[in-house]
Amino acid sequence: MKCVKFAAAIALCLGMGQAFAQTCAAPTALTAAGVAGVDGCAATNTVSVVCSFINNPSPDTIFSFTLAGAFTATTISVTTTTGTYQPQLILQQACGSVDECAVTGNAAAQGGGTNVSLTGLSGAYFLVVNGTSQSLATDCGTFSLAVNGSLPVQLQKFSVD
Amino acid sequence: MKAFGMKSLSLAVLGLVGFGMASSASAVCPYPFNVAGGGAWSLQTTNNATLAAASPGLDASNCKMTAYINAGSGPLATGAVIDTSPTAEASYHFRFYIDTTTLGTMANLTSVQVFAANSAVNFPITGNNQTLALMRIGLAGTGAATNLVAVSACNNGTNFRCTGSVALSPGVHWIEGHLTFGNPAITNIWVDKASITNDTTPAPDITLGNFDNSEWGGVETVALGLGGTSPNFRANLSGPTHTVGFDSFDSRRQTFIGQ
Repeated sequence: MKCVKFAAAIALCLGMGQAFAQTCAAPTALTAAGVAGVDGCAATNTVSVVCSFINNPSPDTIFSFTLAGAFTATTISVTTTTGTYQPQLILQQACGSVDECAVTGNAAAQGGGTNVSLTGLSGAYFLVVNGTSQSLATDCGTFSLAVNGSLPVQLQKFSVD
Repeated sequence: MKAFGMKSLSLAVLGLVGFGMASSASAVCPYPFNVAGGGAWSLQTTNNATLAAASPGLDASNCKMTAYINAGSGPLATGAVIDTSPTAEASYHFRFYIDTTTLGTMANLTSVQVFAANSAVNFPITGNNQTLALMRIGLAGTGAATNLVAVSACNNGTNFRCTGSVALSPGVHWIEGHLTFGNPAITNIWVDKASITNDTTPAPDITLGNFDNSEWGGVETVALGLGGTSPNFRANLSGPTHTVGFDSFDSRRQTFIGQ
């Protein structure tokens, strides 16, 4: 069996709503197709402080992507189907840094969505999806990520069996 | 460190540095604050931020330092004065006044650094959480309140930070702190305490006790002002309508300071 896996096909290979690698060491590749039905509560808290001074006790689901060459995406948006979850997005190049805080977004209210802008960015990035609450480790829920354009296709794995 | 005698005017800096009077006899509120400009601080730095001297001060004084982040600035925006006179200080006491009135109650994911005490050692050696900062103080919003947050370097093996916070209402406050270097080390922060006898009397508003910061070094450089802003801070709390006041900085090796 031959299996050629590209990032663009990752979501199909994994299937929506299934388990995602969720750490800085093993992030899930984010593609233009986005992801749906991710259980953020299944992740663990790995970025306990964001923007140097903001406590973050909630689980962190980590995605990765690279902005290089041709791409049309300008924003990544998060929505949730969990009414008690107030999503937060932190875009980092140094995954897990407590200080890197150049691009962020947080929902205005529980059950709301937010986005981060990709304008002017280039290079490899990690998208940390967690909760806005600075006191509740339970600020998590089921979320989806949408990308409003194309992202560079990344070769994630190649094998010939 | 230099002798610890308090300068009496402006952003009085005890011993180390200060927002002292400039050399110009006619200046009511001297500016700039650095030695080269006639002030008492070693340096002042602005990058997409604005520093100025204004009257009156915050501590029944004549003058204060004002700072704001310029609108449209990026994450490196900084407006601060710097004292480089400390030398590997293993025990460092400090006190400053701050006026946060214009910041109001800060929203979620909104934060800014107002004080930092740095060592000369960058630790950990590898990873994404290296820092020179032995201790930093910032303001962070929760939407319902603004917290004063103390972040100390600590060798906890994970994120290398120990944190504590206390709610800080918009307005004028005086912040006093005592931090030590070693293992065990402490960081204690008091808000609006007129007199402090020792590390437990009165009880600190933030206490980080018995952690290990021995991999870093003692205090070498101190910065007072605005920096390390989050995107929400820059988007919503920049420009001259969000000017923060600083005054009466004092630092000592061993003794507490009080109001």
